[in-house]
Amino acid sequence: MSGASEPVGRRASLLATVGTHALLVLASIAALYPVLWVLKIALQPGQSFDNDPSPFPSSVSLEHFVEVTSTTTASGGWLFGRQLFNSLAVSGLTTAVGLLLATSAAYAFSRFRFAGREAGLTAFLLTQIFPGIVMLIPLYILLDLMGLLNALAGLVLVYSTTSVPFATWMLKGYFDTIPKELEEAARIDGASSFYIFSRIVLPLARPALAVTALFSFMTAWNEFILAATLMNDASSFTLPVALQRYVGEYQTDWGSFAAGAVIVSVPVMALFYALQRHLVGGLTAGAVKG
Amino acid sequence: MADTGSASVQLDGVHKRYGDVHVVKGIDLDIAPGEFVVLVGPSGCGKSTTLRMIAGLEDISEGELRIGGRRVNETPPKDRDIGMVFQSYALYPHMTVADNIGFALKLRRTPPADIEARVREVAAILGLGDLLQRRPGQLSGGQRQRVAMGRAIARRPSVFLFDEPLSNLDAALRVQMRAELAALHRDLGTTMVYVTHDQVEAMTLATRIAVLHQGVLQQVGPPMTLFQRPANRFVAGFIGSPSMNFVDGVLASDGTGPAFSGPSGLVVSMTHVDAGAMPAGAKLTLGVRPHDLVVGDAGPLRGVVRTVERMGWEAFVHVDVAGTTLVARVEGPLAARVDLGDSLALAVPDGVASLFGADGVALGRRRS
Repeated sequence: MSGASEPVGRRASLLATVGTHALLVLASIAALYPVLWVLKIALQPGQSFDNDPSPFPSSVSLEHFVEVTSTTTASGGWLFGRQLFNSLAVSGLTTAVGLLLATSAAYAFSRFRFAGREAGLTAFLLTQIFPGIVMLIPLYILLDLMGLLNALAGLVLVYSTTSVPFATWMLKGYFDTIPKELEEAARIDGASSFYIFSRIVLPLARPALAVTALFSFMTAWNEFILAATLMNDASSFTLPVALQRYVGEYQTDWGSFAAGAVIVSVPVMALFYALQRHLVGGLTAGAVKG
Repeated sequence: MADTGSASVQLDGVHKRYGDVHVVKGIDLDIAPGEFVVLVGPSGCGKSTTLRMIAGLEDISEGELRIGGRRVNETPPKDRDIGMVFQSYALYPHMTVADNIGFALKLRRTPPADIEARVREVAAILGLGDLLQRRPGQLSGGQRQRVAMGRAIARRPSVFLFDEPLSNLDAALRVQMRAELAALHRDLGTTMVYVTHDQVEAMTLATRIAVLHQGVLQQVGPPMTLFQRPANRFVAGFIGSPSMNFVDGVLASDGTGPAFSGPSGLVVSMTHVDAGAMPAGAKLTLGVRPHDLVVGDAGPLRGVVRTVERMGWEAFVHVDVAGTTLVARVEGPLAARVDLGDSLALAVPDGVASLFGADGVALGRRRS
């Protein structure tokens, strides 16, 4: 390369850098603007929905947050607390049940060759093709037969049916990337199958477990349609269903609705923050194989 | 686990089939305690499968395997008293070097103080003392290789199994680790079964080499026996680098005994070979090693140099003799001087060449 061409190359790369950053800034604004708007509506007093394009509130008050979190039942109990507990319990249990069943299933699918393996994997994949709403009526009838309508356990069961196949596929893809020799070495060293699974494979699959847990939790936490249909008593509502009461037929309490939306998104954000170290590795690992 | 020293390994008509695919076709091999046996052969010859059957990682389809005189066909790997080193090292990535080495001892409920002492002892043998608290990801290839060996020896097994342990290392490190392995065998005296496709590793490490081809044992013997008296054409071509030269021809007689008659008037006296009842004119293949060919200005074979591989003091020249390429070794001034297009004369001295019948089996040698 001659010396004269160097500045040209440097200018070109500078232009590219500026262009890339400009694009990223634009994308960030596009992503953040609606979020800021929700924050603005949540913090601004009154239930109005003004057309001011500024994403910043003109005055700040926490009245909507107080209103949303201090709802009570007819008997005077703390309704919001009850609903928060419902959401946490349903999402947490769905994640726990999903992961517990999916890790062992995924390990079997990844490592063992047995009759029905291919069919099982295909069946698991098929369940992911249909949106949950398609199964709404059958699920309603099944839960009714089992007496689990309006019960948290019923909701956990319903969510697990979709989270287990998804988690199984995610984890199987990751288990496939863990070298078989590690397990063979452990077998020669004297480890039992369960020991190998719990002490060698699971610790190595931690990134995939983190991602899968996060997805399971988020899906259950955000789910609205199934919960709204299967739960009919305000004290068994999850938070997304509870928020619905601010959207009325003739009038919508936008301020309360926005405050509720902010509150609902906080736990998921916290989880993302806590698990972000694992997220990148886990997402790519799942993406490469499986 | 008791310190049992070193055990014998016997394979008795061992077969391995995967469905219709017959991978290992009846191997009989008797390995004495303390031997270093290298299973060698090209990719897919069944050597790794054989080793994995000894380890218990593959089921034996037919035949019997005994370790220390005890039938172990159905014994799980952990109870066979073996240690294994894998090609990929297979170190536990989430454990420290010390935990990797001590893993098997921990599983056997050895007291922690004993584990620590043993790990230190092994680390000292392998020069890993400073690395005990590191994780495998922080080690170089050679260090990982040592940790893998350390994990295998920590338990003092009576048989070590190695599955191409050096093939992931660069050339210089491979030479160094080869020497360390040989020293380890000398110091521990434990039976070692070693799989490789590299005939140099086989020649330098083995007390006996077992050559496998297409699931069949071709020849078992000390390295120099295989080199000087290959049982068949496959072994002759596989052992030795560069490979043995082969020339097709027929059996003749030169008055004093059998002779080989090849193309372009090549006649080599073969009085050291026992042709038995083979008739004159029977199809034969002459095998002669590059270093046995005499290169000079005069000789029965004349050809043109097509390729020169210079090693320094010596060089290998590929000489085109009437359409057949023969590889010869030259040394000293000639190695520096020889060049493409040169015309060279080659001669095959009496008593060095091997003869193979049409079926590839080597003709016996006459007792002198």
